[in-house]
Amino acid sequence: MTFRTRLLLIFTMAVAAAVGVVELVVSSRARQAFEDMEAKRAEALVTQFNREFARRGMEVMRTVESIAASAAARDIAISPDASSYVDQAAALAATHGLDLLELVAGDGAIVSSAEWPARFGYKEDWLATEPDWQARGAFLKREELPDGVALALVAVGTASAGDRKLYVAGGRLLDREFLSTLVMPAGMRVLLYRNLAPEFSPSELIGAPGPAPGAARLKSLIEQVARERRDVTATVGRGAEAETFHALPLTGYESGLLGVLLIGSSRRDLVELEASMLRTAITVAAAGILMGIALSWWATARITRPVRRLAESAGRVAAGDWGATVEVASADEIGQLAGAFNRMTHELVEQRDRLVQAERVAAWRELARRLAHELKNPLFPLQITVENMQRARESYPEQFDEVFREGAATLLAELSNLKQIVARFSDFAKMPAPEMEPVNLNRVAAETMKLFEGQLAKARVRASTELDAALRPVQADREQMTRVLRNLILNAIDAMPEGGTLTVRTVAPETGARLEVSDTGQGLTPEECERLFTPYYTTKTHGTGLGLAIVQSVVSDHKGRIAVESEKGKGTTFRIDLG
Amino acid sequence: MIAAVKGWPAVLAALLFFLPRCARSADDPAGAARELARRTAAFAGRGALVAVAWRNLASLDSAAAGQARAAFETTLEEAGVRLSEIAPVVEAQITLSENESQYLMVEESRKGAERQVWIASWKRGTPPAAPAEGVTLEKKLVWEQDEAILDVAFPAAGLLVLSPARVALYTQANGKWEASKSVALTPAKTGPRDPRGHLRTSGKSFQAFLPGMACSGATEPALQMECRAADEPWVLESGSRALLVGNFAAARNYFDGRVTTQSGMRKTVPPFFSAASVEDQGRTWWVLAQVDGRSQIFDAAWQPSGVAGQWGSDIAGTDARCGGGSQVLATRPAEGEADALQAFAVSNQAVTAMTGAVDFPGPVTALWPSGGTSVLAVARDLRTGRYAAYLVTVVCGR
Amino acid sequence: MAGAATRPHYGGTLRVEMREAFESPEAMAPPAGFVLASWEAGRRALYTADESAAGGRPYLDSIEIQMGRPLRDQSTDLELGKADVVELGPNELRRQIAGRKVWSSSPVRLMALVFGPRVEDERVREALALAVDRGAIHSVLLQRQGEISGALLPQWLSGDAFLFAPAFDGARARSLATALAAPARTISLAVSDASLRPIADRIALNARDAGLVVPVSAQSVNADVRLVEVRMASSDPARALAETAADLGLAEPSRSDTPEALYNAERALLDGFRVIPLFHLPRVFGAGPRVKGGPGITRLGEWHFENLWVEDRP
Repeated sequence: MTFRTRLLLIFTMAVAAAVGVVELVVSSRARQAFEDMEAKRAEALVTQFNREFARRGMEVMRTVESIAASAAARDIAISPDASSYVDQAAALAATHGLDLLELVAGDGAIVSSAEWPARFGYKEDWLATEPDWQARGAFLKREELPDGVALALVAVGTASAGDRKLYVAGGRLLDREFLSTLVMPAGMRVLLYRNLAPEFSPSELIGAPGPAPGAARLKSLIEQVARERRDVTATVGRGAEAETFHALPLTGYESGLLGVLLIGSSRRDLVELEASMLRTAITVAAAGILMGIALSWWATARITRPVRRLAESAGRVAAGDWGATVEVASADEIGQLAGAFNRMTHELVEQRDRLVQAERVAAWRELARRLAHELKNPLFPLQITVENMQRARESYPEQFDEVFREGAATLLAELSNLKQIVARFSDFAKMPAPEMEPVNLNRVAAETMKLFEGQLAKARVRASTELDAALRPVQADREQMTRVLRNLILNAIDAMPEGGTLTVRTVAPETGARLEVSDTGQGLTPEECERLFTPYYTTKTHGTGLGLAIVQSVVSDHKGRIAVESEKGKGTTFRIDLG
Repeated sequence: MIAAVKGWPAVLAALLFFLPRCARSADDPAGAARELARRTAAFAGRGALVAVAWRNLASLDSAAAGQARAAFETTLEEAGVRLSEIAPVVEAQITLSENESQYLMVEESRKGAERQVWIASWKRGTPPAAPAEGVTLEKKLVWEQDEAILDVAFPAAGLLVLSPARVALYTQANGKWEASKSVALTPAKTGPRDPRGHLRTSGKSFQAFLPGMACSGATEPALQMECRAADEPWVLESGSRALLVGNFAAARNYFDGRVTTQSGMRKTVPPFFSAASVEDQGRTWWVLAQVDGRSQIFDAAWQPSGVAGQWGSDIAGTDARCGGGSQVLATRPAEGEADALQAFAVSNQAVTAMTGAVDFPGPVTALWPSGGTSVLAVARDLRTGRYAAYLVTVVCGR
Repeated sequence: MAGAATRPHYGGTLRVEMREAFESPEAMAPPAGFVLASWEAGRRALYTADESAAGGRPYLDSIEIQMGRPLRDQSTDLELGKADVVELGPNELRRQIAGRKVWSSSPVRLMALVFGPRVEDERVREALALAVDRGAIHSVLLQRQGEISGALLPQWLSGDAFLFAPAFDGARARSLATALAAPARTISLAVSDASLRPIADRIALNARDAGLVVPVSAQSVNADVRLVEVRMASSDPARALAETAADLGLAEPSRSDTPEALYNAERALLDGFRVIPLFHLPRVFGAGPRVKGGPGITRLGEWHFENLWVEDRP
């Protein structure tokens, strides 16, 4: 992360945090105020409902009592044959403005029913259960009608004539018309759920305009009120559609829950206010951030540009351009830093040159040493052999032929050795560029191991191959890779003079291929690991030491990597990653 | 109650009983009962026990019902079946019923799960005549018959009955009136509804007045009569002294208002159904039961001078002088129900009821003075539909 | 023959109202003793006295008949003096009106439930037959007019209607209904005569108690069962049975020469509960105070106006 970015982030976080805190506080205060107001309005509505309910109840009670006190009721009560009054209730209900009216004889048999005329003669035994209907007043009741069930506010009056009695049970339906009489502030509404069905029924939820849509989302609230029989407040819905509902249970004649009154208060205003505040906060924050960006830009321009230049130059140095320098534009700490950087890179360049020079000298020295060593070996036998042949010609010519034969064989062998040395040097000098083709390293490994079967057996080395079947072909030079494997196997055999186990392993990573050659030889020290790939570095007493150098050169030409892991006395593993 | 027959097997079984012996109408309850008893015996089997329950839904009296029951039980016993309420093989419910033309005896029998229904019937006869009811005043039944009676007169030693279709003469024999002879009336055209007619006798001869027809005849040596189409005015007596001649409206049931008084004066008065005269303070007044429903009093100059009150359309004058004035008998102003006659006195244009009402078993269809203090009233019995002629006499001092 | 304490008056027009409306004069039996003078199809007919009628010219000059009047309107017209003879239903009969005469025939109207061909399961029909509480309907809605009946022919006509006593067994009706599949328990009831609607509603309520669902409507097309009234026009039992069977859409009854054969024929028609007789009702008419000479109907409820007359006196 750049300094500018960090600085920018700090500015941003500071602004955002400040604005966020302010927004939260203000928003919380506003919500609290809104909810306080909403609670007050709901309470006022509940009071209004209760008052209207009581008023209606009184009205129904008065109407029923006036019917019960009328001469018509008395006539019906004393009449020995009530059958001629079967139509009376409908007419009385119409004139007195009641939705429901039943005239019921003292024995509970319906004389006349306005809402269900066909029910004459059916029993309404519940009327006899209350000793004083007048004291009971009006109450909620579930009423069965020909086309369904309804909720009604009902009162009962009694007409008496001697020992004859007539019950007058009348009422008004609790329906949308009743709800429409309640005055609702803006944003509030009242709903009535008529608990008349065994299961929750969306069609029983009504408002002043008619059936209330979206009844299903109030189901759990209503069921909670039904279970707990107490007032419950809950918010339903989300966002601007959210509403806070105060739900009140309405109990009926036998304390059964007959309805639930729901007073809903829309949270739209609050949501919109909060959204507005949020927008403002975001705007302020954005402005702050922009300002922060500008400030940070200006600030960092003064600070980070030179630092970045330094960083860029450092990067170039790391990439190898040791001659990178930084312009020194100021005399402050940054300028001092730039100057020091420049001096450092200059030193580095000089040191690198010296190092390179020294390495070259060291490498030439090493090469010369090795060459001298390699060449020396066959040269001494050559010199001695020629001198021996010279002495034999001069001193004991009768043995010259034998000496000449032995000497010639030795000369030819050592000359062949010299040629091999020269060939290896020549090979190493003119190793060609690899010819890439898709190569299955599993096959290369299997074929190479087969070639070494005899040699491995002779060296008492157990061969093991762990080839990953999922290994994909990689772009490689088959011949060179074969050479690499051969060199590594030869190295491994040489590392196990007493025998051991040689393992050739292939692994299929996500991309490319991995080839490993492991032995159970004497292993290498860390220092030996470091110098392993230096040409002519060898731990062997014979050999040119070019083998691993060739391996490294081939791997490098394949853009691969080679690594070695070893532990003294345990063994060594060479790992090649291609692709 | 034994459940009714159900299912094809039961119907087939009923038919099997039906085919061999045709269920024809019996002549009387006993015959019908025997018919059913024979079927019951065949159903139950000889020696079986049968329980029988009876009920009467018909208008048969207990005598007829008893007759049926006795015949049923006797026939059962003759067939070797015993009646018993204890462990019966067959339970039978017998119901006496009726429809318009027949009496029915319906038996529902059950033997185990098997049910049968049999029905025997007999024709309904003429129901017995109901006795005339007593009257408070002197009312005497003189004649009754099914056919309508327009008038009844009493020629020497005989009873002359005028009906819409004939005139019949009856003579006394062994204390009863027996038909002597009757002569058919053949009017030129159909008579009006509510036919009216009047008889006037003088010794052996008589006149019969009918709408559009005038007849004259004699009762001795044998009844003989000649009729001709005529629109002659009728002679209306009131009591035995007052007379009025009035034209009868053609094809109607009232007098059209053209009258000729006893003094020969021709007058035109409102149409009326009947007329009666009253004497008050030596003067003769006439009361006409007019078609417009009023009983109008006319003075000697035939000027209207008061209304007699709410009377029916039939009034008749008598010679009765109970309490000084003369009495008029008038029917009640009601229709379709049992009628009554009451005697009224008319004095100073005021009408006073003199007697209580004499009831009749139906509406009075004809009311004519019969001479002296009597009137002849014909009433139709609402229950039986027969016509009865009564002589109603105003008896003073009771 | 008319006979009254007050003699019949000739003249006047008798104003008659009726519910039915006929399109052609042939569809309506003309009053005896009168001839058709004018006809307005479905609305009005005027008959004048036949001078050469059997038994003499009727007292009335003419009879004016207004067709298609609802019962309630007929009763109001009678009360207001705008009609002389009207039909009376149980509701109208309940109201006591001064000066009104009531003429009632023998029970000649059969009120019955008639099933359509779609209801094939006899258990459904039997369940409905057992569910109907005729007693309550008869005493309240019909004001005890007529009689409860389980027969096609009334008692006075056949003499054996008591053999077809109707059963009211709510428990058995429920058990039959419970054994039915849910769709079979719903049967639509049609009643085209609005004056019978309260009876149909009560029947639907009885059926509901038995577990049947019986929606009531005025549409009779495709209804499963209909509440109908048919009128007996013959006093001959066999003929009346044949005509009633034809009116109800039943098969022609077998020959019925004897009361027993008649009974068996009637029993066969009622097997299977295709028809459920409910009541036998009279034809009831109301006559205003100016009408005299009644009753103006025969035992079968047919008009018998020849002997009527009208009086306008108070």
